[in-house]
Amino acid sequence: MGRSWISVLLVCGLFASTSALAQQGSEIKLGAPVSVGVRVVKVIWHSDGQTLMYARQGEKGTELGIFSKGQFEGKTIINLAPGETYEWTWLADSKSALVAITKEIKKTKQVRLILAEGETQSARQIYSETLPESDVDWIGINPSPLLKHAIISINGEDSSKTFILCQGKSDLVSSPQIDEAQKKGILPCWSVDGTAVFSQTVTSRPITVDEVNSIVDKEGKAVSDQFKAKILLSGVTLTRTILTPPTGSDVIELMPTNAVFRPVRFRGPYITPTKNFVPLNSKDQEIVIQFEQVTAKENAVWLKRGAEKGTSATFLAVNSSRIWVAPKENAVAYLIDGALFVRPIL
Amino acid sequence: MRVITISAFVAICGFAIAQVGGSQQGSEIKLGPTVPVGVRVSQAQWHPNGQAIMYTRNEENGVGIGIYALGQYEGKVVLNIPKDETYRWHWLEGSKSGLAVVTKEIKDGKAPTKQIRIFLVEGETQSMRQIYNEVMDAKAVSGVGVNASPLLKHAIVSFYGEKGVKNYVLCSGRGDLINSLDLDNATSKGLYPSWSIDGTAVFSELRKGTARVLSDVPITFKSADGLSGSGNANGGDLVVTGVRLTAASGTVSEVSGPVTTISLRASPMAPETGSNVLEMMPSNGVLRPVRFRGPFVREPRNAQPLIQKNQAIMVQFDKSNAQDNSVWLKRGPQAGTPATLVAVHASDTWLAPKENAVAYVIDGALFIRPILKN
Repeated sequence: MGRSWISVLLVCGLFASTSALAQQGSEIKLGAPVSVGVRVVKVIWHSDGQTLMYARQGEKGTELGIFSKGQFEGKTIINLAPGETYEWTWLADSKSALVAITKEIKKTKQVRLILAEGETQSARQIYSETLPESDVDWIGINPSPLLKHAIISINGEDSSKTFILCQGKSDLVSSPQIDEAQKKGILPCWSVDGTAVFSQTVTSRPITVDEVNSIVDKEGKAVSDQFKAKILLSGVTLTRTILTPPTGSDVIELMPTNAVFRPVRFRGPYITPTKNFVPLNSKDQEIVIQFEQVTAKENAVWLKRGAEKGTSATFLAVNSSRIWVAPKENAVAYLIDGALFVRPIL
Repeated sequence: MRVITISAFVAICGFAIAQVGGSQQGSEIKLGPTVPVGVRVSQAQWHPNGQAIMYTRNEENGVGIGIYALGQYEGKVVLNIPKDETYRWHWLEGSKSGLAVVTKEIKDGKAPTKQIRIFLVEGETQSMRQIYNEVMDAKAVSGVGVNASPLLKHAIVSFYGEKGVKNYVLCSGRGDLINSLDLDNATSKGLYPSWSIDGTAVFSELRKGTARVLSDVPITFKSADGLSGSGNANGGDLVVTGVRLTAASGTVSEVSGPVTTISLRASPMAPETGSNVLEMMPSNGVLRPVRFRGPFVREPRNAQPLIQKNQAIMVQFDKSNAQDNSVWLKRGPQAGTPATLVAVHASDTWLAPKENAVAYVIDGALFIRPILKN
């Protein structure tokens, strides 16, 4: 398998935030719920908390929908054919995402890349190719943390094909230069400007809590298979190997608008900002509802900031089976009997 | 046309309390798994046979009409009504279908016109087909009445206007809307339709002074034209006596009583059984002379009707608490009989007329739960 220049993580359970406790117990106010769609089974929030994707079990297979804050409702934009699997990757500075769809057909694999636009609730296929099975081991989508821009690689047992989604454009540009660079062991990392830089000189740094949060769910499971993880766990400090050249060193920068390389001095690596608030938790509470002499049990879900007992909690819903708090804690999505609702957190 | 049509759809809390049948009093009500049907739903209306439901949902540019039949995977919006158009919905029995009559008033500087479109909405296939579309002088048509067979997928569609009435027939089987000259002739001769025991329309002279108000719940009503009456139908046809119907048409403006969604329709009393009448053949709209085999009479419900009860609930977590609403179904009004929790936080609830399912809305999402037979 090809080398993974993608962030690499292994996660062992949840971790405790050490950030500010000032908001512990502060009241959580929720806005009006919006019913987004039905038959929903899974949700992935965009890191900005303004848009979410959802997978729904349609009658003929899985359908992928998208919903942005302020929109009337969710909309299905991709219908997966039987046998197709998908990988969803959000793009920064937009409400958009790249969706890699693969399907095995005899000894080949069909690969499709779809650009999903949250703003317009639409999808456009930007790549489709059927390749020998050995040429598609895994598909890596490495999105810029700041720009609507990504490096996409289709990795086989002994081959790699790389494409660039250029900023401001919605077509893929083939980049044999990156293939060559990778063959030489020159791997990309993201700069403070959100551009990809390539250098043979790399260092490592500790992983931030938010970086872990961005790729694992609350049970500590990876939400995206694209991350081939490697984590070094030391107490509660998680570290990962991240490939960044020293600031000020000579690097090759991939210009995000046209995928052309240019030599620059490295302005420093992109570092995910640390959250400075106490994370919201959802709490389940069994309730007994009574009518005359009859009782029924249900599950009530509450939102609460921090873990301290006795601090104020906000009632979210009854009979909710799943909850997804947006990364910026500006909204919460939840399921009731397969119907997806979103409520802004004010 | 002087056939009196009054229809209204009224949704208020509480279900009918019937006067009959105590055998099921207190029996447990079992609900099946919940099916999420659609979102942004504002209203729902069950088919009289309880096998299908139409719902309206708010859309960015107007209203969407969706349909769902029990057993289907989810609801489907089949018709979009722009904001400048209005619609009326009529279920067709003997099917899971309905007719949507969509009207648009066009005022573009010239003489005002009306565009009338009629759609046949099929619950079985969750599809629709436009079966009528015409733009006409606004004065030429003041309203469209749909008189549906109580047994067949068949209806008389009447366009009322200054120059009289033009009748169309929705033919059973084909689902086409055809102009029926036989029907126009019959009405011009003072003959009026009522429904036979076979679900066919029969035409006879109007027996003036009395009328039948069709409803499946006990009601009191008052029309905009001053028409009023009350009675208990025990779930069957409600024969209102002592009410002289003077209005050619009217809109029910006030309905009271523990009712759910109701449809009122006043029609002339059926002719006497055995009398000579003209029967309209439902397959082609042609009239033929026959002896009247008797009027259609809706079977009264013989079960103790289900009633819906709302109960405020208090939920608590640590020192925080919140209030919500729970909706329960129980059979019969007596306290202490078994009740079943339907949902928490449901804003609207619609019980299927045959009590085989219940629909409810939570924050705009429509859910349906079948009511299982004991």
